[in-house]
Amino acid sequence: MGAIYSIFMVTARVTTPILLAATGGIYSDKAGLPNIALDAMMIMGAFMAVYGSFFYGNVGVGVWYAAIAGLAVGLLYGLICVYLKGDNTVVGIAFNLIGWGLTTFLLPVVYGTTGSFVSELIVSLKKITVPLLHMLPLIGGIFKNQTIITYFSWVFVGVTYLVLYKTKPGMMIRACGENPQAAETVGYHVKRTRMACSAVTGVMCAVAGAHLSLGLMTLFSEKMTAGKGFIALAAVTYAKAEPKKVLFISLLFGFSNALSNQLQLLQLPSDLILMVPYIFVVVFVVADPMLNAFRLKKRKMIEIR
Amino acid sequence: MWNRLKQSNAGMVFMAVSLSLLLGGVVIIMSGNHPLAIYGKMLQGALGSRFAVASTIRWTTPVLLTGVAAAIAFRGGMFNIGVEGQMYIGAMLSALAGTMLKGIPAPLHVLACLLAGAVGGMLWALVPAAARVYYGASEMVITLMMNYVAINLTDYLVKYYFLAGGAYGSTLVTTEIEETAKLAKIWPNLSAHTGIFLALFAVFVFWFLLNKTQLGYEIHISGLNPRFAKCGGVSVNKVRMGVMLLSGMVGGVAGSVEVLGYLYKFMSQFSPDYGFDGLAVALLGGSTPAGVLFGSIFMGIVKAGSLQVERATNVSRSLSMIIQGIIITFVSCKAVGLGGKFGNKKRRNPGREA
Amino acid sequence: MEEAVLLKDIVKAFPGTIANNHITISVRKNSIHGIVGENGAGKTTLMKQLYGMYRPDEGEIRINGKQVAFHSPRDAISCRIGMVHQHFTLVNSMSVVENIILGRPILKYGFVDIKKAKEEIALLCRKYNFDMDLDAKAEDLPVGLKQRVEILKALYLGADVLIMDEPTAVLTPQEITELFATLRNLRDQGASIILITHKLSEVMQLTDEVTVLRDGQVTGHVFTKDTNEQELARMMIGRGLMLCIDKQETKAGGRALGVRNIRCKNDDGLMVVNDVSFDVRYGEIVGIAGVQGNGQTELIEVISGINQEYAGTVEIGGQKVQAKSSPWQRRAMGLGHIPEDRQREGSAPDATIEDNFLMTTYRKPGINRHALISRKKALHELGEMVEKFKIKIPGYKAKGSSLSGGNMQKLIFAREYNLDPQCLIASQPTRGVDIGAMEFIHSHLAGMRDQGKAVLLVSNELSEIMLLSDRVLVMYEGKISGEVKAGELSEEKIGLLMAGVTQEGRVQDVE
Repeated sequence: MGAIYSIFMVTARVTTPILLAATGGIYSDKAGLPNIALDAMMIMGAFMAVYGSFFYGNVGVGVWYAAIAGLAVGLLYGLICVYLKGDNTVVGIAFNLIGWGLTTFLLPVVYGTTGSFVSELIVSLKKITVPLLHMLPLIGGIFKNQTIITYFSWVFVGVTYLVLYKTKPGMMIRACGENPQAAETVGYHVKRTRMACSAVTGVMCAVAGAHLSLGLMTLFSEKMTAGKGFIALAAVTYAKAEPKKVLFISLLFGFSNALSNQLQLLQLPSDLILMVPYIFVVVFVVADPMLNAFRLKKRKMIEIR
Repeated sequence: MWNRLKQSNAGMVFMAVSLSLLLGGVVIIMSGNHPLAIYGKMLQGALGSRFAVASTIRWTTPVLLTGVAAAIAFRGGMFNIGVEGQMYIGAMLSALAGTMLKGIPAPLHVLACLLAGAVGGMLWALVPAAARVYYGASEMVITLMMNYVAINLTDYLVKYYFLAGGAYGSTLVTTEIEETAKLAKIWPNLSAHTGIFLALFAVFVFWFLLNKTQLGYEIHISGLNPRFAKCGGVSVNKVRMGVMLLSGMVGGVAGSVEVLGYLYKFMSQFSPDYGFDGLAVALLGGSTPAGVLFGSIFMGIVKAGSLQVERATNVSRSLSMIIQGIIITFVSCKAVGLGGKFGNKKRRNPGREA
Repeated sequence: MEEAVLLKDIVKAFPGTIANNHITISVRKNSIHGIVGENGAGKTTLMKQLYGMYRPDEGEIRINGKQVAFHSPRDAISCRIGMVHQHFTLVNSMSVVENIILGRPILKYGFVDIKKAKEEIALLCRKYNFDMDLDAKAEDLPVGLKQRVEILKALYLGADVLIMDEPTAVLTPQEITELFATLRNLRDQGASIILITHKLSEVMQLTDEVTVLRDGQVTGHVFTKDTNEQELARMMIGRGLMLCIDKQETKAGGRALGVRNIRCKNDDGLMVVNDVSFDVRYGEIVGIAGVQGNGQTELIEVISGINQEYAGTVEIGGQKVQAKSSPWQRRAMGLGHIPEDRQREGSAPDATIEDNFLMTTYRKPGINRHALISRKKALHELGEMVEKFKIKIPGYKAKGSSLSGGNMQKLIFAREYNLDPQCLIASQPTRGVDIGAMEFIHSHLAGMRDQGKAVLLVSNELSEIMLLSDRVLVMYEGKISGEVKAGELSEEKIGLLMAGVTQEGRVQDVE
């Protein structure tokens, strides 16, 4: 396996949580209720996935439990922000705190351990290799040893694009987000739409979390998302919730993650390497608007005679 | 002015706190314990003895500072989620100043260390501040990322450059700071230290700033309606830079105080989420000086109490995080139900449309 | 007579006010029925109930004789009621055809069938004689066409009762004429039209019948041919309109505000103000007329200091102003500014009234010493202003949002007046303000002129411009398309200039 081949492989694997969570976030964003609690839903998903897998000895149950947890959190978020008029940034931050706190709290309660929970009884996601496609040079790596969630995430991006721009629900979502009055006056229920989108976001983030705890690793540890939910948030925000851009930016972030993982094997100081993905996001988050600002300034400039 | 707001605010906060203690009780039941017993132990652990009170003071101190840091930024309309990171940088620099400067009289040494911490925190907030003000980047995302960078960076620096001689195993610590840099204890052999007075002073300065100064007014209005502020001639950009830098500064001081008053050295991963606690406290207290004060005392009580509870039972200390989160969720709801009963008694005027 | 719509004994209350107090209106089929009243009379609230956006507390609604209860706009739409709102409800990123079919997209195998949609809409356009580019993006359309899309939207969903809410607020006189022709056409083809407006001249021009609302109640119902504007005004506000301000003969003095060769671009790079020059002298009111969107907003942002990226010069009281000088510095030089959007730029609704007032005083030497603010002194000045201008406030610590539009506008006016400006810019000063406050502000602006101050009035309301101005400059597409002096004012003249039909060359007002 060439180095580039394995980089593709690792990138695909690590991009998945970010991509799936970000794509899920597209729905909320487009509907006009940006969801800041991506990390919370991800970690709840990760926790419930291990729970299901451990206690039922079945990885499918784990993923299902994650999905249901995500659904619940997503709906709760929607309920509080849409019907109780909570401020979605504040509520999002609160949910993140609750998410981290609750999952940390439940570790000793459910498993009797602190810090993390590891066990051979946790069934992890099977690694699937697509026949034929995985033999492609270089990029074939993305088809080798990936979890079903990874493959699903790609399909989901495509589906999201189609739904948003070519179907009635998509029109409805976009109208609710861009001009809720417009949506209401043609008879759409803005609140219900936003709730539904919140639910979708929740499910997808939670499944992304399942990939984290059952796919990338096979354990649950405190705050294991390590900010991935926020990285996904950065991706959705800067892509302006457009599926193609979200894919691209998520890949970028995932790649930096993969790079950092590979570099760790090279005996460089691990702490420095760990910083790489975060610095990458910072650079991106600064550079993108910086370039836009330059363009804007140029357009607005007036030569003073 | 804040009296009326506080009246309605206080009512809402009271309801929010009660509801979340209720929900917290549910979580406790999930862990197989009795809520009242747990809450009782919590109160005991927080206020039941001099030891407990000292513990409460000790835990209130850093949260009070991080709370003020977060609140300043919020008032100016900025989301500084990176107080945690600013604290680490401040703590590290303070610890270094504490060990490397020798032979300076105590008050000066403490001042120098605090200064180092303040400057460190401020610099760590500079990038997100500038990125937001000049390029419109999301300071929320950047500050959050920089938390992780700070934690890893300080770990790296300790591991490779500043490791204390004879440090055992995998603990990453710096050498202990000079005696002249340490903050005095309030009671001998108990954890409370004079850093609390520093924190209280910070709250006072926060209050004074907002109510009595020109800058404070500009911050207040820029946070509420930046376009209005701009129209009145306020340089909203300068205000935003200012609050972010101030916020980072106070965050850095929070780290300093923890090092100088309790740890006496820099320790890797020393913070049990003080930064996020401060965030929670600021949100809970509506980013007002009084709110932050009471919120952080409450938080100190919950923290000190939950430590005791953890020692005595199997309920982990992260219960406090859960309670915080629930409170904030409720407080942020402007629900007609929640607000109507306790909140806005003024009639709203919705029939202003034709 | 055949009744298309009957609203019987409608009562709708909100906390603190009764918006509709036993209102009964009957709309004849094939007619244009005007509903008039000033801001706050209850017109829009009433219509929102007809469109299913609110539910009446009491009363009944009958459509074509059948009683109905609407729970949402969907129900109203299914009863063939359509509404064109005051503030456009188009999705900017979508095309015209997408916007039109938004309520009921045409589907094929679950996907939206744009091709079929375009065919259907093209047919609809032909039926009503509309000429539309169906692929254009909504955000690129001029205002008149945006409104047409709104009308098409309602027609597509099958409306034969059309509610038009203040449709002419943003149109040029020519676009208004076209709109009226369209509405008459629709009526002749079988629709019933309800026109909500506060513009009496339009009511007289267009409608067949009029119902007048005041303070939530019906104060009159007449056939248009049997009434006139004065009578309608009386029913609307309980007394005759003070239609004419006593304009004293004044001699304009020196130059208070000089504006030369101003050019600036907007965020998309378009030149929105394109070489504008004019003066405002002491003792005169200069009015800038024009349809919203022709550069007036941007021009004022330049003059007041909000936008510092521009070319050209601004002079206040003879002193040249640095481009980088802030709005505060310009206020210190004597230039006051009442911003056009009271809620976005003129106030902070969540801040206290005291804090709202402080904005112009917090830097005054008497109040500000060494960057410390004396709130006591500021409150004193606020108290003086509240009394002088008879502003109704619940208390200094009450939130800004507790003030009515008119009172907040008075506060904003007082705030500027408190600084004794030599030249005051008043942008849309009476938008959304009740008649009492409107007359108050008008008389104070005229009073300032009589005292020898200069006033630059920018307004979309032609009647206001014509009432107050000594000279009127008309803006069109970023330029001054013409100037009309007080003696020669006529709606027709200004209307032509507003649409860009200029007199030969451009009128420059340079000394």
